[in-house]
Amino acid sequence: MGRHSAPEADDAAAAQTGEPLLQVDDLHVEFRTGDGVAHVINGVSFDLRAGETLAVLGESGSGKSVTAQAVMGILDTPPGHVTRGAIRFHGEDMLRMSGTRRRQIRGKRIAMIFQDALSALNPVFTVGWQITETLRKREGMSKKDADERAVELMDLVRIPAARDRLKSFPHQFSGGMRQRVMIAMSLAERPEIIIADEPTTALDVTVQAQIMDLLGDLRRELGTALILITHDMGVVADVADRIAVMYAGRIVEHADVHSLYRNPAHPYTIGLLDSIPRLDDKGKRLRTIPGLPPNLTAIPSGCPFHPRCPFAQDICVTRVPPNMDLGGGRRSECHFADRIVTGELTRPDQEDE
Amino acid sequence: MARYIVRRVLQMVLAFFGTTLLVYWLMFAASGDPIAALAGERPLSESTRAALIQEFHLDQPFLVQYAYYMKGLLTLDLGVNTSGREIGELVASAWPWTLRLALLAFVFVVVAGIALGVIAGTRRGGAFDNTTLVLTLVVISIPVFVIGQVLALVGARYDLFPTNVVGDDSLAALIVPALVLGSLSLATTVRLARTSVTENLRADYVRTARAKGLIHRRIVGVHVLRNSLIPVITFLGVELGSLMGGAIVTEKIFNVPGIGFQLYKAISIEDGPTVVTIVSLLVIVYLVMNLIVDVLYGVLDPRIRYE
Ligand SMILES: Nc1ncnc2c1ncn2[C@@H]1O[C@H](COP(=O)(O)OP(=O)(O)O)[C@@H](O)[C@H]1O
Ligand code: SF4
Ligand SMILES: [Mg+2]
Repeated sequence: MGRHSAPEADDAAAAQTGEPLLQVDDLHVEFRTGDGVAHVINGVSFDLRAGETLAVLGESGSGKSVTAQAVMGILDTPPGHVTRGAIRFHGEDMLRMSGTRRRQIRGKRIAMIFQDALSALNPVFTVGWQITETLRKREGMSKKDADERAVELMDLVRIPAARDRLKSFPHQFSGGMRQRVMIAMSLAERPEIIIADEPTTALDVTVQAQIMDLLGDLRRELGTALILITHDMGVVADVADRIAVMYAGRIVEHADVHSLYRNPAHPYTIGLLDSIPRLDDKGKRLRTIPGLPPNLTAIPSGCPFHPRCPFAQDICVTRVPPNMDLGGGRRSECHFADRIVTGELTRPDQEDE
Repeated sequence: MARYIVRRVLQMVLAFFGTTLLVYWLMFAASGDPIAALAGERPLSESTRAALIQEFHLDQPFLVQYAYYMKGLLTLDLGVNTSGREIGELVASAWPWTLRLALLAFVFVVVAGIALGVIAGTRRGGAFDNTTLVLTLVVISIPVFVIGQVLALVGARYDLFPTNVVGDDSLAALIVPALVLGSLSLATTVRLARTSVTENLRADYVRTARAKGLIHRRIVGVHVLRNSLIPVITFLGVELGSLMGGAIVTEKIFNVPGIGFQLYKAISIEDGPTVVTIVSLLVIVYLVMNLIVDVLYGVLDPRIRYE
């Protein structure tokens, strides 16, 4: 498979033929620190097709950001090291590319949006300068043309009075507007993929909804594929096509949004769903998943989730669950996934209530 | 911004009068006999005495004396010293020396300080960084007069470089004195730049810059450097103010006939008018430098708002 010369035009075709834009295959990342080796990513695999939105869900510390950093090629090395796996972009493994080639993809064809735009933007440069930086430096645009493009981008992300705000500094914007600046910056070179790492976590609830709407609209208008990382199951339902649920550096369940919400196939997913606050069960105590995520320097034997899992049996302690194919693109890493997804097995503690 | 500057200038004026009043008082009023203070050890004739009383308005109340003195200072009529020499002339001949010495030291501090600090900061924990840390600590812990004396002795003994600047107009003669004068500032600048670069390298915006696909040189040289220099430049501005006046020790050791040297001489022969005049001028220089630094700080860091 050759390099795509005009990615935008090819994307629709690629989606049809099923050629994924991005394929992460058996990715392993460890962090070597004074406290030992933390096995942060332990065999993550997923595909992303053109124009598709994949949500990556999981508690804090499950390895979502590290996965994103590995894909972007901005892992802190040391202490972080990719020890195994492949990250293919248009079929070519980025882990085996030269630094220069990789840099030409980074920010240009795969862009990233970070959680806290106040600290993620450089405080001493104007937003216009930051949005246009790669246009001027990599695309060789004149300052004037780049500024025009920046105004277009700021209009696109619905920043009012865009032209007047080119010369403003990040601290002069509200949190939501700042995140829009960040999004405009990521769109500058028309990337094929945007990775948004908890783009709304630092914002107020109403602003969160606006930013999610904006991301949804942008990806419809521009056809950009989106990897949406979040620990908040509530925010993804409307935007995502598919969801990958991460636990201890593995994707434990993988499904389309509707199936996952209707029939979760992994006890961890059930736990996450139960911990979403809902309007109709006002007054009822929210169930949170008991216990804490594992220490990644000493991941539990067998199924890493077993110390916290209400379904756990003896086999879970001794044997690593297989990656079970449930059909329809659904996968789950649980010994009992096939019976959990059908509802044959229910939470043992459910009957008490 | 304009309001801020006006307020700062008013503060400066207050600080200026406060400081000069104090020095004036120490010099003239604190000693029992101002004439004796003025004249030092010399015996005075009745007529000289009368002339001095006339010159310094010593028959008037203290504040009036001070007011006359300030009027002279502000109209650039610096008056004469106790031996009848024009203080203005003295300052005019000494100032260029101090200025050259201070600027030379400053260039050295800025260039070497920032370069070494940035290199150490980007290679934190490496051999270069550790060596720099130890050397700067040594410089910081040894008083400047010790460094200066030792260098002067060694230089004179082995005839390595001129240790007596009087009568040598070349800039080369000022190199070693400038190194001595700047040594403490240099060491502090290196450490400050290093810490600042290290901290900024960890900042979130660096990750963003990397995610944009910028080359490493640009990330460090533009994004990190621009942020790291804010505290460094602020520090350097204040240092320039003190370098211009704080050269007493260095100028004395290497016989540089600058302001510090003249001040030292004036103090040792108890030449009150000269001391007060020079100190007043140094106060002005220092205050103006501080104002410039504050304004510069706002230019460098857009987050600073002047109220
Ligand atoms: N730079 C780093 N140095 C050491 N450990 C790290 C580093 N970055 C991440 N980790 C470890 O990797 C684990 C996963 O982190 P992360 O991917 O940020 O989780 P999240 O799912 O919340 O985004 C955490 O336990 C964290 O301690
Ligand atoms: S394998 Fe066992 S411990 Fe792991 S999720 Fe399934 S039931 Fe729970
Ligand atoms: Mg994270």
